[in-house]
Amino acid sequence: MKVIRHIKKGNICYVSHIDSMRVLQRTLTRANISIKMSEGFNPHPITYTSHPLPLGVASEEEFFVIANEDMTAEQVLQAFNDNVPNGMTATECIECVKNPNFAKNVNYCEYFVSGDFVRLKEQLESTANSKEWVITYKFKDSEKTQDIAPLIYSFKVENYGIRMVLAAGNPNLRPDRVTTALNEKYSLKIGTNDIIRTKQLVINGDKIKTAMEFLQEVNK
Amino acid sequence: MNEKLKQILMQVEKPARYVGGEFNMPNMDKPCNTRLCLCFPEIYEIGMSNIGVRILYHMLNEFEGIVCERCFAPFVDMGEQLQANNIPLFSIDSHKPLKEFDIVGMSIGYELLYTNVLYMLDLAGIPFRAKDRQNGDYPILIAGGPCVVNPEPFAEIFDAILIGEGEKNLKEFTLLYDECKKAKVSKAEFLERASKLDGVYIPELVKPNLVNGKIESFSGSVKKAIVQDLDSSYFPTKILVPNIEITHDRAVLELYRGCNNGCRFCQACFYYRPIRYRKLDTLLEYGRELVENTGYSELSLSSLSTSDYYALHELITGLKSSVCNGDVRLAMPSLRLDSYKPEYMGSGRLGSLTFAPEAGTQRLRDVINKNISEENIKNTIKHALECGYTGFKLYFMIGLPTETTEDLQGIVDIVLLIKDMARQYSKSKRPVNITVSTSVFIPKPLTPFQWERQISVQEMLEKQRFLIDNLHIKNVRYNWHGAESSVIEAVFSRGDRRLLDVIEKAYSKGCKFDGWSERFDYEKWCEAFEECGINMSDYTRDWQESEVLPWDFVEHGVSKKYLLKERHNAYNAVKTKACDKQNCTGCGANKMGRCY
Repeated sequence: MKVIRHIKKGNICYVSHIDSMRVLQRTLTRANISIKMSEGFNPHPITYTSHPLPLGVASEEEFFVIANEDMTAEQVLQAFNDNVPNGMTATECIECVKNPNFAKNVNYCEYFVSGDFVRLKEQLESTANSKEWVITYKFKDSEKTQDIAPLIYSFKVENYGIRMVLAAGNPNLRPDRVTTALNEKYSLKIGTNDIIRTKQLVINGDKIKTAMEFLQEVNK
Repeated sequence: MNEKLKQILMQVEKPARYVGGEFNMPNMDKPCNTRLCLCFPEIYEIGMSNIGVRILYHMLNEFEGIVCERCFAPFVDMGEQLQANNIPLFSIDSHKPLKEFDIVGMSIGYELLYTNVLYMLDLAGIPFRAKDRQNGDYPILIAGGPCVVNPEPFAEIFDAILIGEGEKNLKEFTLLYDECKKAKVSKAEFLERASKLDGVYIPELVKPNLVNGKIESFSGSVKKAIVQDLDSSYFPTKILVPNIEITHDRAVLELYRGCNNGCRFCQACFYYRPIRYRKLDTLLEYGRELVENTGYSELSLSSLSTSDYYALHELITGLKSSVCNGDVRLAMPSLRLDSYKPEYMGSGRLGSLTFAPEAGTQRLRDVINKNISEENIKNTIKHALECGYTGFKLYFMIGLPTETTEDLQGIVDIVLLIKDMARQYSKSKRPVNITVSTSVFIPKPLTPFQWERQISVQEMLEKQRFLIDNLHIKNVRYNWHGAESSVIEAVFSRGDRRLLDVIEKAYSKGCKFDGWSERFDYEKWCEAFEECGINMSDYTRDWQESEVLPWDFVEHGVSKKYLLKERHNAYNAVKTKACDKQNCTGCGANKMGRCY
């Protein structure tokens, strides 16, 4: 197994998760990186991705795990970067003994929302860190309400933006849902493309590990 | 990209349509003297599937000092957002407004796109008519694509219309512009010089002379441009790989241009002549490069009649052994009935077999020169059934010249024949499904049927009704193409300069994306015609052979005399054999360049 850690920035943010998977798949084909096929009735290349990124949100840390054994991590990194579209460049490639299953183990993600919110610091933080924060949002054709407070791990206003850690996977909290709620409440103009996913985290009670630290543990 | 645009993108469907950034994008930041934007008046998914645009885009970007970008028609939601936010239409490669380009080219693929041309110009803030752009710093507007066979309905929009193959005329046009720009030559002077090039039509310089509203003659003529040697002509193998799924999401190999069959209704057959092949070795090489450079898992073959490629068998087996093994699939085009071989079919599940007899009886097939016999049909069906096919898709045309009820009954008879044979030969336990699709015959310029009348909407509906009633058979589906849109297509395919008023009127009434059946509004079109005082029936009627036709000023190679001869053969149900190296039928195309 190889774990490719890559970014998703710039115009490619407008490519949906499902389309990005096809983009990655084609990158592998072009790069001539061979992937082990699954052995089921309908064989397909064994690859895994991390939690889907909402359309328009950028990321500094995405994972693409592939079942490849015949190349070194350096070779994969080189071949991948030579063949991936702009904005999805890999930063690292790590050999891994088994699938780290990020989709299951990563339960929180850190996002950074750029903008100047210092003047609203107290209000924003008290809203986001309160015991209950019920928001309404559109889902398909209906309106839904949800208390998102339990899904916010942390929320801090910094000098150049907001840093927040939100639940990912199941349960999941979309970062754009938080910013939309803030926009409505405080008449802000945060766009989805102001958000960037900065870290993927494995949080177990008080223990906070980054996905990379988690990966090292898997490899031990 | 500006902030406003970023916000808009989040509010429209599939924003990836508007941002570019595909793999294999040429370098857009190189030093550049001439900046050109190729537009396709349909949405990204359709425009990106167009092989012509793809070839020209990559070709132009190879030249030093020339940058070629792309722009597609924004879908309605994006169009509304652009207008509401006052953002002029931009290219998707570098998000530069269309107005800032030196040259803006439109590839016009079919008649129902005419309103979209105006839609794009409107969004770009460019006046529709060339005469209204004389004062002011606007790009030079040019057009190309299959519709330029008869460019008259949209001629007055453009400063120049490129007739023929872009590898020749667009290249020469752009290089000449590049030179003229450096030498600071005026626009008028440049167009004057460009008019000397093959296949460059300047509507301001070559005009129809009208007498009592009828065309008597033209003030000049234009010769279609072609590449003499297709094999050595430019073909990109390092092509853009879209980040979202497009309509034809696969690598495409163009085998040859022109067609030797000479079906009398087919415009492409005559327009793309002379017949020129790419060599087998060239294609095998391109096929390998395409798959390597794109990562596509499907490769398809494109031409007007792939069955007639001189080395089809070697090509298919060659591709199958070199590139299309394992993960890469070779997508087979619909082959002509008699050339179908079971080994061409891919492994895995058998799909349905598609073929187009076009007409129901042998008599009518002889009239249209579709060289398929009853015998061919039977053999192929038997063959396919024995191979295990359980689906058949049949394409027919209704409203062909000399058609009678008997010919429609012939369509039903073919279906019944397949059903009958299925009982006898089918190897599968599953029932055999048959889908019959009919489209309405449109008399197209540059075909032996260019003088024919198109049947009325009433007649179309009656014929469709006959088939609906008679194809009410178990496991048979009948689809038909809209009658009303066929009328509009017919009117515009044989139209003249008067029709630009109608296009403008229809656009102002909200007509756009007319090719999308759910968006096509016939009533608005009818109103537009009425308000302009133009009768559609003037264009769908039977035309006299003595009349000067609106597109007669273009030298297409294929002569009018030949087309007339073919027309008379049609009425006598005399077939004309497909031409080949030894037997030239004398259509005249080889005066332009050598066939074969």
